[in-house]
Amino acid sequence: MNSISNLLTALMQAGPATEDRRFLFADEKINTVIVVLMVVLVGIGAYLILTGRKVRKMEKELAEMGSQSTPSGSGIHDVEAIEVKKR
Amino acid sequence: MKTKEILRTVNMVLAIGLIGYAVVFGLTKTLPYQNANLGQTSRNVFFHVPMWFAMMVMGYTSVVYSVLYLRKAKPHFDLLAREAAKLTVLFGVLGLVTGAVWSRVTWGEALPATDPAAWWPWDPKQTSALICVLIYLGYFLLRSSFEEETQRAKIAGVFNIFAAASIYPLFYVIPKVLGGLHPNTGDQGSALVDMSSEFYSVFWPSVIGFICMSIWLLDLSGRRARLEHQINQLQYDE
Repeated sequence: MNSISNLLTALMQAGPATEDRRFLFADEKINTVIVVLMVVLVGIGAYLILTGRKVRKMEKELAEMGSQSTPSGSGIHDVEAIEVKKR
Repeated sequence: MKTKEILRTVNMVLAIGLIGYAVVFGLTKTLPYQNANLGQTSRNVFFHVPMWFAMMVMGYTSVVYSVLYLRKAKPHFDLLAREAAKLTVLFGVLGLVTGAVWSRVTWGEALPATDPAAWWPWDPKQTSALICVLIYLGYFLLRSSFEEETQRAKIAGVFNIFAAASIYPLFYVIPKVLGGLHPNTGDQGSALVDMSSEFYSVFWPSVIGFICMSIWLLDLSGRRARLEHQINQLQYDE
């Protein structure tokens, strides 16, 4: 247990602090702005892409479910028909 | 239906255009030098602060849908309230993370990176922002504890009113009374007043751009929730 805590202390005192200082503080700290911007764009971008993908997948699924219930239908129109029926 | 499509496209164009503008000019525009502690990080104001604007817009939108649900009892409003609350959490978390990074190089400059206080100094505004995000997480915890849809929607709707009511005191009143490191807390003046006019031409477009982006995300989330609901209904009918 003691050796683990020693190792953790050693790790915490090693590299990262200086790495962080070299990167985030370089060139009047402009890299910090890049990191902040990346966090924002990746966070929003990931939500946008994942949700968009889910919407497309479910639209397809719904169209298939619609065409199964009325085999003669083309799918897309069935979805509209279901929506109208729901209303 | 057609008007909706037009509004959706205009909103998308505004979101992409204004955020694109904010990214390009926010990084390249020559700005007045503030001090060595801030350095170039005064540019973070274009990306960190709009997260809170978007969070508040989503929080208040969510409560509007909750009130609509409580008045009209249409499940559609409850779904939109839930999706807007989800985005409130998303923008809140992005605000907290970007704030922690910014804090590390300014308020925590003298501290080693391994010291948690370098990233999180428990500044009153930072702490109350965290509390606000936790309150919105509580909204989801509450939702998850109900099986029955109507009961869940009603109780979550009422909770949402309290959550939205906490936004203003947590972000403005408490930090103003307690002071702290953020601008516009205690005796410090508003950062918006301190910022020179060179900042405004990027700051406000960025705020509007991210608000448009939050509306885009809400529209998309709402569509996903509606589809989910429809599929569940169809499966149930079968």
